[in-house]
Amino acid sequence: MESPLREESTFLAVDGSRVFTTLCIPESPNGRGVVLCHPLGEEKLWAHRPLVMFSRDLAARGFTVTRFDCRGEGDSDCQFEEADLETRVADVAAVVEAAKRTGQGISEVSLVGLRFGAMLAALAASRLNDVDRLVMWDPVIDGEPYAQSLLRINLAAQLAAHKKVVEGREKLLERLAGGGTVNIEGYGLTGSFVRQVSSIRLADQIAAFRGRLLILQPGPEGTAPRPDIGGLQAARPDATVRVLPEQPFWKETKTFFQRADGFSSATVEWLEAAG
Amino acid sequence: MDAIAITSRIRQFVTTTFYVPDPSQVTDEMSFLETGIVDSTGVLEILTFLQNEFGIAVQDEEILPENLDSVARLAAYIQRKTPTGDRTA
Repeated sequence: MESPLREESTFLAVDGSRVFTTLCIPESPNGRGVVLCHPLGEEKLWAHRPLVMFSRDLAARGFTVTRFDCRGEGDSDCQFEEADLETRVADVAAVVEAAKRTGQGISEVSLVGLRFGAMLAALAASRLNDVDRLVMWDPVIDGEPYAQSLLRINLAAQLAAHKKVVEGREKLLERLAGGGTVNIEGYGLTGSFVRQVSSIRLADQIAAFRGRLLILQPGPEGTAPRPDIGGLQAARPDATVRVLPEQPFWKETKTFFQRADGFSSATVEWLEAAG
Repeated sequence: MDAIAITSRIRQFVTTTFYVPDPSQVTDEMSFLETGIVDSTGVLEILTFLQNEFGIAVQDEEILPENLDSVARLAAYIQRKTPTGDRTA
C-alpha cells in the first residue's frame, strides 16, 4: 500500500567535510532504512533520476531511504581529485550510522549500490557489523579491470578529440604514479584512487558481510551470471543472484531512462520478502 | 556472418545507438568522428559493441580511426579479427 512521503536534505559532517544527503521519509515508516550508493562520475549523473524514483518507490512502501553524494561528487564537499575509494567507503559508513538516527524508528539498515556504488556498499557492509541486507546492481566486483576501463575512457576521448591516441596507457599510468591526474570525462582520476580500486577483489572480502545478499545483473532471463558474479556467488553461496532485463540507465544512451523498472521491482520484492 | 551481414549489423548498431539525423545518409565511408555522429562516449560504445557482438577485445594500440571510424573500416577490422565473422569467444 502506497503512502505519501516527504524529503529532507541536509549536510552530514564526515571527517571535517560535508556530505549532502536527502532523506525520503514515508508517512508510515516500517522501521527499515535503505541507503543508496551511486556509481562513479558520469554514470552517477545518468543514473540520478532512476535512483530518485527508486528511492520514492521504496519510501511509498514504508522504507526510510537516504540518498547521498560521496565527497568529491554532486553537492558534497571536496574536489573529485581529493576523494578516493576510502573516503567514499567512509561516507557510506557515516550515512549508514546517520540513517539509524533519523528518528523514524529505524531498526535495520540495508544498502543498495549501483555499479561502483555496489563495490562501495559491499566494502562498507563488510566493515560494519550491522548492515542487514546488501543489494548490488550490476556490480563492479574486481577493481583492477574496472580501473583499466576508466583509463580506456581517456584513450577513447583522445581518439575523438585528436583522431589518435596521443598518450597511451603507459604514459597515463606514469602520470598517475608521478602524482598527476588523468581526465576521465571531466573528472580527475588520481593515482591513489586507481591504486586503491585496483587492489579490490570483492570475492575476497564479501564473506565478512553476514547479512543477506542480492545481486542483480542486466540481461535476458535465463542467462548465466557473469564469471565475476559467479566468483562472488562462490564466496557467498547463500546469495540470491538474478539476471533480468534492465535498460542501461547509467549510460549516456540515445534514450533517457527515467526509471529502472526491472532492478527496482526486483529489489523492492526482495527487501519486502519475509525472512 | 558474411561481409554483407557484418556491414548491415554495424549500420543497424550505429543508427540505433547514436543520434543520426538521416540514417539513409550514413554511407560506408562516412567518418563517424568527422561528422560528429560519435564522440568519446560513442567510441566506448563501439568498443563494447565489438566485444559483445563479435567477442573482439580491442587492444589499446588498435583504438585507431583506421579500425573504428566508419562502417567500412569497422567491417574490415571485424573481418580481420574474426575471419568467419562470428564471435571469437
